[in-house]
Amino acid sequence: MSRRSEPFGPAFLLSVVAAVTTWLALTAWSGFVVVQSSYLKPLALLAFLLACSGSLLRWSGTPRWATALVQLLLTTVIVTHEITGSLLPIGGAAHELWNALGTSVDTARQYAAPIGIHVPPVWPLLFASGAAFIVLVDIVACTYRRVPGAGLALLAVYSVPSGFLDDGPQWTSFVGAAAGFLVLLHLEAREHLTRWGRPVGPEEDSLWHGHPVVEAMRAGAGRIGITATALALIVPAFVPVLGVDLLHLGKGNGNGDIQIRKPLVDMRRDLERGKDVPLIRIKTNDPSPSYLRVSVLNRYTGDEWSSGDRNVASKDVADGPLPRPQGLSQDVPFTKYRYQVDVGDDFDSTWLPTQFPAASVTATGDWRYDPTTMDFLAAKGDLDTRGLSYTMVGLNLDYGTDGRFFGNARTGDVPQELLSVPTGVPTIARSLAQSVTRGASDDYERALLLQRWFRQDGGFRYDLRRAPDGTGNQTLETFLARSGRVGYCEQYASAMAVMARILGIPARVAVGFLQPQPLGDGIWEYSSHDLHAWPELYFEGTGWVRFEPTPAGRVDSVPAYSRVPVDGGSNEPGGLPSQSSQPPTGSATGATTGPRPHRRPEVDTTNGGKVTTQESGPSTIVVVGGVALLILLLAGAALAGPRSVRARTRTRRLAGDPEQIWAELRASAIDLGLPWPDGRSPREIGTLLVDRLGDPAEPPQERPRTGADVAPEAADALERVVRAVERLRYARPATSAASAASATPSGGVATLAGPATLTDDSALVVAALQAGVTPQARRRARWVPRSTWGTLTRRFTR
Amino acid sequence: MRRALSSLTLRGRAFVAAGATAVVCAVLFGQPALTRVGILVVTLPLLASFVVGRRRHDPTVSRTVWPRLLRAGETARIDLTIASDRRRSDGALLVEDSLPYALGGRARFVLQGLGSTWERTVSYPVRSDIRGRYVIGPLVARMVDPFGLVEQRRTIGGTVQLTVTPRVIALPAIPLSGGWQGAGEHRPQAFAAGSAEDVSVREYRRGDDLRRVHWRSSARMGDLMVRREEQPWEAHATVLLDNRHLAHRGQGPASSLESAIIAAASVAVHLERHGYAVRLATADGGAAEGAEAALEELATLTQSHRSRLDLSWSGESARGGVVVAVLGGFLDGDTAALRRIRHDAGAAIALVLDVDQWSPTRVSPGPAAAAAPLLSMSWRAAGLGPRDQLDAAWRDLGRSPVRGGTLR
Repeated sequence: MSRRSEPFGPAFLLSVVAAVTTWLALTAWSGFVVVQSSYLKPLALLAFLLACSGSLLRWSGTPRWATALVQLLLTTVIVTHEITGSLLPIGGAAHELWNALGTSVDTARQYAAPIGIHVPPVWPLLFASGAAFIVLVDIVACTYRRVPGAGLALLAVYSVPSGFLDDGPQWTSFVGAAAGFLVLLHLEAREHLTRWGRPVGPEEDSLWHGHPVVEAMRAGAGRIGITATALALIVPAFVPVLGVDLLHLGKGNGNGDIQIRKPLVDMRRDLERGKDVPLIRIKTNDPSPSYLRVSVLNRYTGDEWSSGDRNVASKDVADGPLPRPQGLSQDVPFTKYRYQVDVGDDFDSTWLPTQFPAASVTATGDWRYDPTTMDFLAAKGDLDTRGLSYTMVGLNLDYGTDGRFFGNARTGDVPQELLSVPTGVPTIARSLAQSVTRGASDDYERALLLQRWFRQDGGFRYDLRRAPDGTGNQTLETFLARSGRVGYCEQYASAMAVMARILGIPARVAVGFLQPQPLGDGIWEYSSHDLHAWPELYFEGTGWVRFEPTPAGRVDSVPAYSRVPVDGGSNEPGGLPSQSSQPPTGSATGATTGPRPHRRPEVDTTNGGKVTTQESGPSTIVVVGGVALLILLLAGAALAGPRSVRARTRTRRLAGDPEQIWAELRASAIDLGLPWPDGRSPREIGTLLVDRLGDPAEPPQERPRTGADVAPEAADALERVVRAVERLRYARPATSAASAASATPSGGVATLAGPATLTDDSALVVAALQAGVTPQARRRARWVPRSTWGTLTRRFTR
Repeated sequence: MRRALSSLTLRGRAFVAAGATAVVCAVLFGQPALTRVGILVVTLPLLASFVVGRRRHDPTVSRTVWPRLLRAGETARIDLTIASDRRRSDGALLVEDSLPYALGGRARFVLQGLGSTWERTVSYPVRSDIRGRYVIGPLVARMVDPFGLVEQRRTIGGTVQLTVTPRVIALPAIPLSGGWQGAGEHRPQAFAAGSAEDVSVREYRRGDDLRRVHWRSSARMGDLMVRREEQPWEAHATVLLDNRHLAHRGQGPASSLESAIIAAASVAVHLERHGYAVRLATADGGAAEGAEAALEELATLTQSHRSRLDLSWSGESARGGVVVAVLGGFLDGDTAALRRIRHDAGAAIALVLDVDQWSPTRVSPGPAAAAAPLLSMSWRAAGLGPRDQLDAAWRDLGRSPVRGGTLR
């Protein structure tokens, strides 16, 4: 345990370099948040403390496992303290810590990077995982001295953002981490040198009293490291990125269905943004274009609305006419309007903004739609709407105000999901849904009453700043309670959709743009403050129909068909005087400016690039099976290939002239790992080999006996082979044949013809040689014959 | 290129493999950030092997060993001077001297702080408990890169030989009758009649008796010369070592032959220290004159495959001298040889190894029984087992009952 004799300097240096390296690698995560110092500052403190404690522990000779344990404990304490304020994660602090991490995870899932300061903080997650990586690198690289292993941890740190951020991690953090890693490698290699032998140098006592930097530069560390890092920065620019999607391989045999999960609305941030960013410009013959739908949220889990699953077949692409919307009666009169859409560079979405219902959509790229929702999504991960131009024809349906097209939805018209109400829905929602719609005779009237209640009778106020977060059950409860009733479009749309479902009306939430600004000449512009959410309800005869529960403070007009008075109540077009005290746009929201404007709004999802694509069942199996089969074949070829090559060569050579037989003996000896000094005479080699002959008849032993006395027949056979080779090589050309002919009978052993005897002899010698080595060497000779490799390499080097 | 790649260490190869995999995966799955990492990891070992491979200049090395002749158990020092006149600096150089296993630990040095045109001297001790002739060298230099990815080995310099002689045990002085031909008081007489006067004077030293001044020589030399009273070559002794394969048991350092060699070496050194001219004889005949030469011979002595002792050394030249025989087991036909030696020698002394005690399978009746046949041939003999002290056995010989060739 007395490693105390080591100087403290090197141990401290190693620890500090490891900590700094990890920290530099963690700067790659800075793209996740707007305020990078929120996690980098505490991490720097943690890294410093860990480096100090670690180097002290290691210097004092504490056992490795104890050091690792103490470091882990210290990390836990610091993380707990930083997040909750108390030192140990016990009791309430544990709960608090858990909650904070849970909130961070939710935020990270819900919002696109970079995540601002107006949402629940995400830094606890970054801090905790960064701390885990720092302590991991410290343990692996410093305590257990496995610097290359720590490189894997650094790689993990570095590759996280490349999966989530569009432009990947910064090159600066790569250079920092790479330099740190190289220094770590060098320090470790240097320490290995001191352990290898006695250092002799100008300063004999220690490596560390010299100039480590000068020494490293002399050894070429600078040259090698800088060149490699520079190459790593430059070369990727010239490396083509194929981006092969393995799971797309089976496109031809299936319909290429794609399921999309969980795109999440990040609307509030964009609405709260001070600056109203123009996003989409349209040119249309529609006199008053309004709602432009981006996406539909089908699934209500009780926590949030999500888009649910989509089934988009590869034939359902946005390249022209679309099928008639589901459930829409043929009798409904409509007007067609043409739209030319130009999406600005600031609108990054994997969902295509379209009219609903639409007659046709023509856009370049693989935009696909689900016939039930009729929203368009990018089927390829790298496809988005930025800078896209496309055309569409929208249907302006005239349902009239008499409700004649609105029939109650029949069972089976829509998937059950659109009617499902999770168990946790507050009872107030159920009771209110019943009481508000009391007296209505059909679903249409119920829907009208619901909308009127939200806009007029319920006493709701539109206030973006005081609105609760999210759309979950708890939010719903406070939003519907008499003391609440403050919210913004998301809550209104969600509440109405949930209550409609409670009443048995299929309902969903649509996300998109509300109202464009006219720029004249038939050109209109949607901006980020126009983002909106509204419910869509399904009726037999009309299909999915838009309703507008958001009060007049935000939305001034409602669709004509929803303006019908029900139950004697009047529903003024403009609605009652709004109780909303805050205009939704302009100066009010301008007060809530973030520390800096975001680079661009993103409507749909953090995970736009993370759309998981899955093959349909059979083709996946085919692909996986094919790959596995290929690997098996390759492995089989690698194993059996050399073996069969050797076997064929052996048969051919043994049947040949003495020179070939001699070559085969040489190859066999090399395979078996026996010495075969090149450039010796056959006789010399023969005397060497005689000692290695074993008895082929004996069962395999771990250490077989060898020698001429063990295998006398093989020894004789070897002697004959040697003599034949000598005769071929050294006898005069004219006499060799004759003497060979005369020599064979004089051998007295065989009366057969010469070559056949020689073949048998050599086969016997090979068998005896094989019997004379350990079973392991024999197996190696069979499966990995070294002589084949030698032949190959010689052929290549020639 | 192949040579450069073959110099990669395991870590270097792992880096190349991991980096190549990373690059391929990055290209296939479209992750440019991963490409960066992959290229860094794959280029590091390649660049390192390129840089190390360019260092073609070999340093020069000279090696001295002192002393060249070494007793087993003693320590010799080896000095290495390694120099390079290369203009570029190489960083660190690892050198390892190739040592036989018996000479002890690895001689490894890390030469560091090497600038341009450097010279370093390192020295290390070697020590062996096993006799033999050892080859030291050549030096293996390893050139490494600063990241532990590449290691290139080169062999530089020649080799030297180091002879390790058998261990020598100090023996007590015992009376050895015989061998002193006309020694003692008869010597001046011999001078008076002999012709060796000129060589038997030496310079006067303080304390010499004035009566011993040899005036005639003094007059000739111009310096006081005195007569020498005794001469170193006046008595001669032969140490016979039976190294026949059949006479010994056991293998390697634990064999009875090794004990016999130690005994023979000790006796030879002891006799020379007491003024005898010592000659070594083995089963193959006369081997060496003088104790130093005998030790050197014994250092590399191996078993003989003869079945009879070669007695060509015995005879006129050995007549009257002391013969100390270190014998193993008796073989057929030894009786005649031993009788002849006894006949020729002035005094015949034998240390008989009870060789069966070295064999794990045989049971021996005891050292005394081993010596008995010689006693009957009127040798002075003592038995010796593996656990017996050589000096004690030697002392026993001094009290030996046989004297003057008569059996009591």
